[in-house]
Amino acid sequence: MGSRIGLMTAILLVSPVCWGQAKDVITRDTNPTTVIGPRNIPLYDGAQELLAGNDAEGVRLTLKGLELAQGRREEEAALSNLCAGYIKLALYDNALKYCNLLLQRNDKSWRGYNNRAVIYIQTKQWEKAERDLERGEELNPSARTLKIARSMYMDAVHPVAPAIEIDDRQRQISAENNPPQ
Amino acid sequence: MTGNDRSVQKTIRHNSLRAICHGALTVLLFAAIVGGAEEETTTVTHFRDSNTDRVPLLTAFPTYPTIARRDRIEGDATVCFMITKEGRITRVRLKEATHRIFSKPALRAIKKSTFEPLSPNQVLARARTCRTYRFRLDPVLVDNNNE
Repeated sequence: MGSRIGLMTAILLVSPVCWGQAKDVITRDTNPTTVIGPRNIPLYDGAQELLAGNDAEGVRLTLKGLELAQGRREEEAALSNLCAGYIKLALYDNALKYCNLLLQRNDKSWRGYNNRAVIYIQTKQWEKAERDLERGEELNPSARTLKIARSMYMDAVHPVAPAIEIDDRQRQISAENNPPQ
Repeated sequence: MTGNDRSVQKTIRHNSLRAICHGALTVLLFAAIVGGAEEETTTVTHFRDSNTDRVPLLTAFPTYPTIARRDRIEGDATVCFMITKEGRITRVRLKEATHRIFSKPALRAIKKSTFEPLSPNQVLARARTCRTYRFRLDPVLVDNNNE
């Protein structure tokens, strides 16, 4: 179960970068400052493969994209996608390596903390997961993917079961039924 | 609870995605998500008030909002409505909700519910009444080994 949720979360994590790239490609004719999509094709294709669920191919292309990466933004996008891709492949050691690299380069990357928290949750390292979640939430309190990761953590550590009470006891507000004749 | 009140407890199971996936990615990733759907148990307790002469016939249960469950939000929603002679529910309105996330499930559930029709010798003058849905999250014991 946890791995399924992790899979979903990882997919969501990778998506913002991917969408950013897709958008860049779409708008490249009108926006000459855009660099990620057009310049680093393997990185863009890798992101698309990851989004399409072709995780192994996505990771392969993203690794190639990392080699060709120019500039901090491309490198961080590649590292983030590699971390997410390896999470999807359940190769958590590899995922952790790229998450750590990402966070070494940019310790303000909430996605990095989010991804790493997912790794720690999947490997049942609750305290580390909690720390990364807190850090990520400090950096971006409204991030939906962080809320999902937080939920995974809470479900693992403090699970709950929904219970619904239907209370009709205050019903007689103005019932005025005539008694049977 | 008075002697006239009766409570019926039921457990319903439904598929629930514990994590949320909104937006355009939902379609793309549907196949992956379906595999992650999990059967989840919801306990439903129905407190009835046998002082009234309208007997519930079909009681629809609201689903616990996924985001509320995810964010550990609990709360109540009270809906008021009219019951027709035939037992149908009309003129539904939300009286109050501690969190707006519970409004829709409560309204949806009451609209699907019905009451026993009145017998031919009964005359209906008016029957406006209310029902409160209480959304709770019960802790589940778990044994986690910290590493």
